[in-house]
Amino acid sequence: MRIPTGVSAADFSAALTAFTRVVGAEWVFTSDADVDLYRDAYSPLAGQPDERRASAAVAPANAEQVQAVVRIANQYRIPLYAISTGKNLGYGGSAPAYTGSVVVDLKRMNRIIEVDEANASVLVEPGVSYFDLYNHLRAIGSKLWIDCPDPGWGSVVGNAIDRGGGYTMANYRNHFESHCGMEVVLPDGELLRTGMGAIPGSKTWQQYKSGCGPWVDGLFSQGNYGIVTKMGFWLMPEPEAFLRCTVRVPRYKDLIPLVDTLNYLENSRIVTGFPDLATPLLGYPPTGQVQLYIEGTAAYPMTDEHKALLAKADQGYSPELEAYGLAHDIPYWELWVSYYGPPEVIDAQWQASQRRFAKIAGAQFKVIDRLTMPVDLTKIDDYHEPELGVPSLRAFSIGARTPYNPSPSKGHMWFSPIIPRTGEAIFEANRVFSAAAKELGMPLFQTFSMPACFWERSFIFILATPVTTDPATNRKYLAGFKKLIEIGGQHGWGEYRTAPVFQESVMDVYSFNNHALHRFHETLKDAIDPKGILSPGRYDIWPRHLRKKAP
Amino acid sequence: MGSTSTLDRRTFLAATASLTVGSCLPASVLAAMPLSPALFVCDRRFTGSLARADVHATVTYIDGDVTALWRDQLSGLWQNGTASVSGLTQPAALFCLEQLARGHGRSVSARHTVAGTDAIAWVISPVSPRGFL
Repeated sequence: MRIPTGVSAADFSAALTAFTRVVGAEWVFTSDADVDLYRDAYSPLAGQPDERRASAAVAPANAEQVQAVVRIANQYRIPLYAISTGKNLGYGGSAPAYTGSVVVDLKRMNRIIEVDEANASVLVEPGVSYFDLYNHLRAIGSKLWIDCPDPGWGSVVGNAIDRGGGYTMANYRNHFESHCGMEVVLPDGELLRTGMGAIPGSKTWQQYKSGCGPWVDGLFSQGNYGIVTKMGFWLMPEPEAFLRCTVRVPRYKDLIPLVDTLNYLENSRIVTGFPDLATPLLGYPPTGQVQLYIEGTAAYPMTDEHKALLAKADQGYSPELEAYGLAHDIPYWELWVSYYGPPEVIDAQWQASQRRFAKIAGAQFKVIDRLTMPVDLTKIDDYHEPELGVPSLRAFSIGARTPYNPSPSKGHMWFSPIIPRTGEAIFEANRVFSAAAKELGMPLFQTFSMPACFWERSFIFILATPVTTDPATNRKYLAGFKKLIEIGGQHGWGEYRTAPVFQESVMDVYSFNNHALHRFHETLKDAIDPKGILSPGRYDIWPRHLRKKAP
Repeated sequence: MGSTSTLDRRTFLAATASLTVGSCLPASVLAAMPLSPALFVCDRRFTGSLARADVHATVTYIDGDVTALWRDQLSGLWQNGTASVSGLTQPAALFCLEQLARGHGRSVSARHTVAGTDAIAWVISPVSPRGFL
C-alpha cells in the first residue's frame, strides 16, 4: 500500500478506517491492482518514478458522504483528489496532481435529479455521463438535446468544471457557461449552493445563474476550492431542422475576410451551429469531420503534382501552390457553417450568410446536409454525432491503425493554446508553433494546422503530442511541450486547459503583475483550505506547506 | 449499429486461429473464453472465417467504432448481471471498452495479441467482489 508523503502510516490507516465507516468497505480501494486503475492511461511518465499516482481511492454515494470524507481528510491531513468519471484523457485522466493523494471518485453519484422540460434545464450529479443523460432524456421522451464533447463518455459536470466544449450552438457548446447553479462541498466539509440555490426552497436555481452578490462559481472550475456535488445545466431544445453548408474561397489571403465574416455572422446569431475550418488545398479536414475523413467517407484527393507542390510550400503557402489550386478549382480554405431552427428561418440565415461571404471574390457555396428532426439514428454514422446532440466514441477510431494513421501512438497530450479569432492569428500561430515544433523535434505539424471554433470569440488549437512506449522520447516531448507553452506565452497566448504535469508551466504564463492571479489563488487556498487537503497542486495551486516558491 | 449473428467458442477460436498464421492462443486465454458469452464483439476486418462457421451465440460486428455497441447493448448489459463479453477487435476498440468496463465493475480478464495482425482477442468479466472498479 502506498502512503501519502508526510502522513504517518498510523494516521493513513486511521483515515482509511474512517472512510470505510462512511462509505462501506467495498468503496474504499487500497490494493495496488485497484489503485492502479486511477493512473493516467496517457501519461507520458508511465512507469517512471515521477509518474503522479494515487495512494488509495474512496467512492462516496452522496454529498453527505463527501462531506464526511472531507472532514476525515482534514482530521488526518490526507490529500484528496476529486474526479467525476476520470475520462478526460489527454488532459490527465484520473491521476492526481500530487502523488499520494486519495482519489475521491464520484462515479457512484450518478443521479439525474431533475429534468425541467419547460425551462430546458437539468440538475445532475458528477457521475452522470453524457451517454447517461442522453439515454435518460430519450427514455422519458424529452425533446431536449445534450451538447457533448468528443468523446461523449465523460461526466457532464466534470467536463464543464474542466471548461470543456462541444459542437452545437455557441451558448450550449461552452459547457461551463451553460451551467446554472452548483452545490459544492468546501474543504472544511461545509455544503454550499451557488446562485439562486443559496435561497432555501429556491424556485429558480436552474433559471438564473448569478444570484446576488459576488458570483463564485468560477472558483470551482479548474481549481481546488471545493468538490462539486450537483450542477445545473441549460439544454438546447431540439430544433426543427439542421442545415450544414460550406463556403469555399480560393486564395491564401482569403482566410482573413473569411474569418472576419464568420465572426460577424456568429456574433449576430445568424450562423448558429459549430463553425469548422478546413483547407482542401493543404489537405486538412474540418475538426468535426476528422473521423469521416479517416473512414474514407469524405476526402481531399491529391495528385502527385499537388503533393509535390505542397511539400515545397512554406508554412502552407507558395505562389505555385495557390496557382495550382486556382487552376484545378481546389479552394485554399473551406468553412463549414451550420444552422439550427425552423426550416424557413435557417434557409433565410443561409441566404444572409451567402450574401456576406460573397464579398470574397470567387467564393463558392454548397449545401451539405439538410435534416429534419428528430435525428434518424439509423443514419447517424453519416454525420458527426455531437453536432446532432448524440454522444459518440468514434473519436477513438482516430487512434486505430488505418491507412491514415499507420503507426498509432499510445496516447496523446493535448497542446491547446487560445489565440485571437482572426485569419492573421492563424497564420502567425502556424508560423510560430510549426517553427518551434520543428526545432524541438515535436511531431505536431505536417504542413499547416487549423484551429477549432469551440468558443465564439477566440480560436483554439488542439494539437496532439503523441505518447510513445519509449520513456526517452516521452521526456523529449514533455520538455518540448513545456517549451511550446513558454513560446506561446511570449506571444500572448495561453492554454485553456492542461494535464497536471503541465499545469505549473501553463500557469506561469498567466504572470501579469508579478503573478498577481497566482498569488490571489494561493491567498484563497490558504483562507478556505488551510490544511491543504483538497486536490493540492491542481492548476498549480498548492497549499502553503507544499509550495516551492516563496508566497 | 453493427449487425448481429451468433457463434460459439469453437468458431471464435477457429476465427482466431485463421489470423494467427500458425500460432495459437495461450492456454490462459483459452481457459478464460466463456463457453456462452453474453456477447461476442467482432471487428469486421477479422471476420474471415466467422461467416463460414457454426453459429450459436450472439455476435455484434463493429467497424472499429464502439459507440453503437456501447449505447445500444453494453451500457444496458453492464448495468446488471454477471455475464462475460468476449471479442476480437483492434486495440483502439478494446481500449475504449476497457475504460468503460472499469466504471461498471468489470475488467479485462484475458487478452492476447494475435501475432502478425492488428487483432486482439479478449474477455471482459465482472470483477468479483469489487464494486465499480
